[in-house]
Formats: sequence, structure tokens, C-alpha cells
Amino acid sequence: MEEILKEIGISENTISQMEELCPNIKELSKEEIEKKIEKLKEMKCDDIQVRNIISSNAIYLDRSVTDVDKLINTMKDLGFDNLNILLDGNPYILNLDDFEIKNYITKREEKGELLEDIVDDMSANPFLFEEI
Amino acid sequence: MEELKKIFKEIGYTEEEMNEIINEHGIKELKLETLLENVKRNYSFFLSIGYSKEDIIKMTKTLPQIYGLSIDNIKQKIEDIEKLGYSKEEVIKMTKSLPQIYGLSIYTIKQKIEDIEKLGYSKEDVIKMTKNSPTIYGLSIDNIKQKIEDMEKLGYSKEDVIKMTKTLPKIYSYSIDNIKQKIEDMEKLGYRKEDVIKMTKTLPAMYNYSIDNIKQKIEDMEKLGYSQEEVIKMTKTLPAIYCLSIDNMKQKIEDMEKLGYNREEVIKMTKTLPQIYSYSIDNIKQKIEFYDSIGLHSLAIIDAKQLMQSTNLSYARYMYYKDIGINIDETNYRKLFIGQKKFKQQYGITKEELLAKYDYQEYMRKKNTQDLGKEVVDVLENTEYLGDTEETICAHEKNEKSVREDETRQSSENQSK
Repeated sequence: MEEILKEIGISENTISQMEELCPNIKELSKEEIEKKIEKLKEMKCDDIQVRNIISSNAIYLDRSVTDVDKLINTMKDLGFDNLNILLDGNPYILNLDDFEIKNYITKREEKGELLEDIVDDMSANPFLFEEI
Repeated sequence: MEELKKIFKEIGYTEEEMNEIINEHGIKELKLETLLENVKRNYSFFLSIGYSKEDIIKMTKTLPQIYGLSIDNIKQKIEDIEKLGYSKEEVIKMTKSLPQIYGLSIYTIKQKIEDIEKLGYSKEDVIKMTKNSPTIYGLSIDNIKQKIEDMEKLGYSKEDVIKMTKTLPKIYSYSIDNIKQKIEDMEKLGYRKEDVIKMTKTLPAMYNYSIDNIKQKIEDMEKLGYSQEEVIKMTKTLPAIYCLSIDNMKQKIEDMEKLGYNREEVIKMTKTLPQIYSYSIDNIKQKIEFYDSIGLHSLAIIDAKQLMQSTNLSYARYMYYKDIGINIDETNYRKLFIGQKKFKQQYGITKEELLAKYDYQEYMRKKNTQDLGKEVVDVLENTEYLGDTEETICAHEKNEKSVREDETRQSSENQSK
């Protein structure tokens, strides 16, 4: 596990911090981590964004690929674009489930906001995802 | 019987443990000779596939019937479980925690997986959950459903419970009273019930921490310079702070100080953006260095939340403004962070176009190459011995040149003679 994280530019100190935040990553295989890196690359994340996202959010590595796929597809359907930029800004978005984002948006829509405006607001203020 | 006693003793059982095993249903029906043979055979087999002596004693105390199984039966069970998506090592690990797995038929295991899937998990989830918490195979599906209902009564949705238990399957083994107690304890610290529900949705592992552990972390953070109220507020946003060691937090503060902020400033910015504690230092460094380079070093202090925006986008916008004659400084830095819709309406350029036109990675590559070039020049200029070497090479070249010139001159003189 450590080997592949080092390959993408994560230092030993950061790896130990990641293990504190998510001890399960110690059990992950190289293939599992590679899959997660691949997912980020599919979203056009460059090498530095991949390093930033993974080193700042170890929990992402421990999520099921199915859940991540559902989340990404839902976000795209809702109108979020340039996901690499958004995730580089707030890597913890990747820990959400699709239904959590849908529920949050529905609540705001019920207050009279338009989907397009909500998505724009969330994209411009990645910390809003923390409200979910 | 004496030989059987001897074998059990050699393995490490007490006489009482041996008696319990041999009187268990499924074992007591065996002839003494058969049992003796089985104990010797199964014990050696389990050792050969990776169990320790202690593991085997523990497993057979929980499930004595293991000594009634044939080797072929055990091998077949392991193979069947592997086919479901576990590795052999994982099967061994799981059966150490829950030896009862050897007592379940493969049909029962498959049925359990299907039943759990029907609750809203994928097969992949069930395999992962049971690897982490094999005790799930020991719970009835009604028990699991009841736990979901109980959790719903506490304020979680069914979907929340499914999500939380994917991360922390052990929740299914906790009693609902313990969960309620944890929520009450957290409320006493200053959280509202809704906060605890939200925090545990984000970080189910909170249910793993003792309340003393949480109190200790609050005290440690107070020593760093936060008030209890501030710790409560920060951890509502980022419960993962409870997972970090205080040494790691101190290290992060030191790392931030190295980036040019004093301790008070670091404490201030982490109150606004606690995520700084979980961002990797390389990530933060990249952001800070960029804002330093455009004269916005103070952004991290006055408006730390804006650090969340990807540097790629901040760079692209900064360059765009520069190209159209707008200089970004502390008075108008918010222009870097406006919504894309407004930006497009105002300047007629999409995010894609902007990012393609002003590519931050490309800029960094060029900058790094230039920095490297500058470094080499600096090294050449400032390293005495390299300078000496250069001079020596020049002198040597001059010398060779003059020798060659002399030879040419002499040769033409000889020719003319």
C-alpha cells in the first residue's frame, strides 16, 4: 500500500497521518488503490490533483467503487462539471453518497432555489458540501 | 482416554476445557480413537494453513465440532467461501474471529449475503463488511433489520444506516443502549443531538471512541490554544479531528508556521477551516505558495475557507483578470471566488475555456524548469570548486589551443624552409 502511495508523491509522514484517519487503508491491496487512482484520472485529475485528493482524504480509498461511481454519475446528472477542480478543492465530497447530495439539493429546491443556481453555488463554494 | 488427555494437554488445553470439548454435541458421539485421530489430524492441518496454536485452542473452545470435521470438509468449506469473493487468508482471519463459520453450510452463507443485499447493500459491500466484522454472519437478518429500525428512531434514515455500516459494520454488534449512551455523553460535552447524528454519519468510527478518549482530545486541543467551544465547533465540521493524534496536529501547526504564519494565525485559520488538519501539507503548501506569489499571503488568515478552491481555478482566473487589466489584491480578491455563472455572464468565458487557456500545471512545469535552470546557474556561480574546475578547463583548452597554434606555425615555417 505504502509503495503505491509513495509512487504518486505522498510522503511517509503524510501516509502515517492518512493511516491515523483511516486505519482500514493498511489492509488495502495495490489493485484497490490503483482502481481509485484510475477513477480520479477518469475525471481528468492530473497527477498533482490525484496526490492532493488522496493524501487529504484517506477515507476515499476505503470506499466501494460502486458507491463512488453512483456519486459521480449523480453529480454529473445534476449538472456539476469540472469535477477534478471541485474535488481538488474539497476532496471530502468523495465520502458522500449520491442520496446525500440529492437530499441536500431537494431541500434547497423546496425553498425556491433553482437546481442550476444551487449547483453553481456549491461549485463556487466547495465548503458548502460540509453542510450535507 | 489417557492418550487423549495427553494430546489435549500437549496442545495447551486445561482438563476442564478438554472435558467441555469432548462432552459437546457432535463430539461426544465419536469413538475415543476416532476423536484422538481427528484432534491430531485437524490440529496439524490448521497449523499447516496458517492458524497458530492459540487460534486453534480458541476456535475449538468456541466450536468443538471443528474436531468432528474431516480435512476434505474443511478444505471444501474454505474453497467454497473463497469462491464468494474472499482470499484464503481472509477466510482464515474471519474464522479466527468467528469459528462458527465452519459450522455454517455454504447455502446458509450465500442466503445471508442475499438477505443483506436486499437491505440495500451490494455483494461487494457485504463481502467487505464481513471481512471487517465476521460476526455479521452470526446475526440473524431480523436482528439486523431491528437494529436499522432502532437507529432510524434515533434520527438516522435507513440510507444513513446502510452507509454508516458499510464503513463500520461493527455498529450491528453494538447494543442500541450503548449507542444512545454515546449520544447522551456527547450532548453533555456541548453537542446537540442533531450534531452527533451528523458527525457520526460522516465518521461512524466516532462510535468506536470512548467518551474519555474524546474528552482527552478536547483537553489536548485546549492546550494548543482553542477553547472547548471552539473544539466543539471545529469537530462538528470535521469530526475526523478526533482520529488525529495530537502529535500530528502539532506537526501541522509547525508546518504551517514554516509557510510564514505565526501560531496565533494558524490557530485562527484552523478555526475557520478545520480541514487544514486533514489536508496533506503538500496540498496546503501548493495553495499557500500560489497565493504568496500573487501577494495574497494573508488570504489564509482573513478568509481561510477560500483556500478550498482548487489552485488551478484560482490561477486561471487570476491570469484572466491580469490579461484584461484587473489587478487582484486584498481589496478585490473575492473576484477570484465568484460563482461560475456570474463569471461567465460578466466575462463571457466558460470554466473549460478558462482552464484550457491558463493551464496551472503547464505554468508550474515551466516555472519548475526555470527554477531548475536558475538553480544550476546559481550553483555554478556560487560553488568555488566548480568555478575552479571551469577555470581549469578553460586554461587547459587555452593551453591546447596555443600548442596547436604553435604546431601549425612550426609546420608552415618548416614547409616554407
